[in-house]
Amino acid sequence: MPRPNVAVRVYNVRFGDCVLVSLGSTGGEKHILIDFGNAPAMVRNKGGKNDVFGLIAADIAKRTGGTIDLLIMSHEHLDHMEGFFSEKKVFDRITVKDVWMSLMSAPDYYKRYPDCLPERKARLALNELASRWNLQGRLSWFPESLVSLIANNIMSVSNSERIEYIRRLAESKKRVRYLARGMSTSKLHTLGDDVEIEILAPERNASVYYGNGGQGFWLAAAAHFGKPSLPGTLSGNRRGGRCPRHIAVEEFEQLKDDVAEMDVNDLLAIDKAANNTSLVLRITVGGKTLLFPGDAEQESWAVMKSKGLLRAVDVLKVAHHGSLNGMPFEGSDSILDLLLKPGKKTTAIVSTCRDVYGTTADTEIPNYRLMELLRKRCGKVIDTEKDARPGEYIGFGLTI
Amino acid sequence: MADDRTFITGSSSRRQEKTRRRARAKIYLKDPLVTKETGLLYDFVVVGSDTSIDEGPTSARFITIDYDSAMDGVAPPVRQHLKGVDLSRMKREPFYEFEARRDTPQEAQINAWATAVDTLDFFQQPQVLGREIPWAFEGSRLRILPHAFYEANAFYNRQTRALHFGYFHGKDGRVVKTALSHDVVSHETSHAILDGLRPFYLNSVIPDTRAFHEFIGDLGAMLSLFRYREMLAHMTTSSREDASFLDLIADLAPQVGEGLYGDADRSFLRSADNTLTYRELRGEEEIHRRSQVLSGFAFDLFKAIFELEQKRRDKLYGGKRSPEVFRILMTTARVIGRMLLRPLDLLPPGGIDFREYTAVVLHLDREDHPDDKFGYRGAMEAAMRKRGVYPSAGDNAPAMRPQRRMLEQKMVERNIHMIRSSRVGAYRFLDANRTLFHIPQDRDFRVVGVATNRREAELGYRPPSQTIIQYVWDERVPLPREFRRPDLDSILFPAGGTLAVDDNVNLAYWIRQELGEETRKALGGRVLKLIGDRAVEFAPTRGLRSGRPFLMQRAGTSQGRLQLNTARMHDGRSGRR
Repeated sequence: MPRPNVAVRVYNVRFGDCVLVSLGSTGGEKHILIDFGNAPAMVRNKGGKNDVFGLIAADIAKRTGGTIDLLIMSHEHLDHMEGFFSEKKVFDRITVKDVWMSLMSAPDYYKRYPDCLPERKARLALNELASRWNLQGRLSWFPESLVSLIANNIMSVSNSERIEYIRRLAESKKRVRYLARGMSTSKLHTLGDDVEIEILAPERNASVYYGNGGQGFWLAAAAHFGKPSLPGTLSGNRRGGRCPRHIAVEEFEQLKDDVAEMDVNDLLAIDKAANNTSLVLRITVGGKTLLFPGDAEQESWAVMKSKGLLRAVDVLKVAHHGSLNGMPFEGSDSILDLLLKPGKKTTAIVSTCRDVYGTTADTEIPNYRLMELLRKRCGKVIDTEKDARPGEYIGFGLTI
Repeated sequence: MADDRTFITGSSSRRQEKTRRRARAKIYLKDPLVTKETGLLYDFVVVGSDTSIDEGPTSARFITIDYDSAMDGVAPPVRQHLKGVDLSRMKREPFYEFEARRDTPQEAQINAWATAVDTLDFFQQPQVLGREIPWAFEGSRLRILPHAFYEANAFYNRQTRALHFGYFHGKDGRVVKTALSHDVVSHETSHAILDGLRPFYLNSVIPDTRAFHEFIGDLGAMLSLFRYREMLAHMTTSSREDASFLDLIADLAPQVGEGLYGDADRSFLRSADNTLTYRELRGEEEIHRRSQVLSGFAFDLFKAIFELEQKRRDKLYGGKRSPEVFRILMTTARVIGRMLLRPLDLLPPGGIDFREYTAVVLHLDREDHPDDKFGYRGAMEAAMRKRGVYPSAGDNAPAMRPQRRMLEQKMVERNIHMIRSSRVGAYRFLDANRTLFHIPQDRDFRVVGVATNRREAELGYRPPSQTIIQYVWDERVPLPREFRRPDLDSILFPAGGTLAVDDNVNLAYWIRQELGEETRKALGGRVLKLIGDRAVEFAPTRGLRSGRPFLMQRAGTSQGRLQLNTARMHDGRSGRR
């Protein structure tokens, strides 16, 4: 049966992602819901205000007629999954046939890939540290953006019920799939034989993204928060972090806290590591291709590029809300040439909210240079903040 | 009868109290790579003639805490052994020794501590500043973390009150510890020292000021080498065989450089032996590279004075080559220290550019040595011109003698005891003379520091001691309308001055730092450029990575103090330091 169209609804969730792709004609439509969430509540510019979830959930329920054929959670960050849990009342009544998650969300993942364990441990340790700071009232000293990064990263490990809830949405346990590059998906969905979904990322062993020195990265980054039992780098007698006898315990503990606080820089590394576990999907239907990369960052794009997986698409959801570190778009690392069709034939989706995180050229989201480039080279650039009011959507269709 | 007087002279070598403790420790005079290559330069040095010496090592101004945040581990502190009693100054001073086997954490503890203590002592000695230097933080002991983290980096951090030394795997796979490098330890200690002397410099938005911090770090590392007799002896011997013996001074941190780049490329982290000029680096924001103009100038000056001294000595030997290289090196290092480091105490408080610094350097040299008997100043002026840092007429310059005499006649409250008593005492003096010192009546200015020195000039001559006062107030520079935000409409900059008075409250020195129209324009332009380049973070992001180098701290409801994110002075992740 020929598909008359592909309808895409991009919701303004404030700072987060939520895209509903409907395939087929009215009445016989199949629906793919990709992510639903927004940033933690404390971020600036109302980027994490949850008042949008009710409206969006209701619209999804109405549009899908209570059946979602495929639900995708790209990665374990609140801005990609909070909405499901928040709107349990609505989603409890929706039938979800299949749930796809990144392989890293598999309950036994860290047993199968112990190389990645330090990242997990680091996040757990960060959770402990943040809880301690919170009890001491120190968390309030930090800027909102930093607290939100902490929340975005640790909520998923500290509050596993959110992820568990999404798993439970599937019709059965077997219909929850944990995917990585190269896994065949043809028999894992009910969207029809003419819908091809390729998994471009993540790699099975996420430690490939830790790059830049491999183990050194974790020594330098994750270990600031955790105590991963990595092979020793220094010889000599070195006991645990107990206070040496020539300094007062209070002073030593304060120093340790100050060092940890200073090294909160490495939180960004943890954030990046989680983003790089994003499930990157390329959906092909009737000759049209749509790319949904979640929050994949440079390291993930570099692997995809090196493996020759990237090609021009009709619809590109821009990774990581248009940040500088999301999609490499400048210099030799740029991937835009590979992804954008010539003659402005690509539609770009930027699901974003301004003034939530940084304000500098390096930290602002979305990055203004990327946005300018997209406007020059794409037929249409959907900017959720500008094109739809919070809780509403902007839609477009592809004619096949 | 026991002499119970407490008399702080600022020089450890002249301290007379019987309560002082001394220690000796074996350290790398350059670093383990140089020691391996030369077979020398790993020697006992006597350090820490101090009021306390304890395990750690710990002394009055430093404490070593071997906490490794990467491993979350603590290495046991090294203990001191009592070696006997030192009678060399007719006092019974306990004499300790710190000892550790090679490649142990304790070796790095000793090396970092002893080098840091020695660097502070170098700056405090009578030939340089001649006074105790305070730290910029609330505390008396600077912490030394010899294995702070796994990274090819080291930094000073005011918040943690510590020098953090990293370790990393070099290209050959071996562990390189930055705490074992004299240059790295001296450099970082010098940051802490300059921060104590001029606390506003660390966070300045002026690239020259931050580059100046790096320059002082490098200069401190270069000149403090001359405190080691073994080093001088080695250089003296090498000078007979090889003209490049001065590379040992100019090339900083050979082992760290080799670890980072591999010896095939270069075996130093940074070199003062360069040809960079001020003009070439216009617009250069990378402060280490920028600092190399001044480091290069200092090294040029070193070579020039060395040659002048050599010629002078040659004359004494009837035109033959003088063999007194040892003495020539010592004299050269002393002269450079006097010329380039002594002015640190007299710099303006808020910030400095390279030409303002050279203006102060020249001013002091002209006042102290008007005849330039040995031609040092001529060599210095030539080196400044070569690098393009010769002060121009428009640069902020210290007040000349006639102007100071005129001010003296009008000064009131000339009570040295009051001035020296505390910052409030110094404030009273300045408050009574606001008009003379151009301090606006409507400003609540504050005294940043008061210190009295006791210096020693050439041939042991002791000039009258001076009391140095730094004072600042906030000047607001409004932002143009299009740059304003609800939480920010102006930027605060420090204005003020530095002055020195002698025991009779004669004005020995005065430099003003005011935000005139031109400076305001320049600073405003600089800030607007930063905002235009989106280099300014409006939301405070303390602790975030140096990829976002600037941060704005709110000061009140509608003003901001522009500050550098100094969580990491150096960004090792990008391989720079």
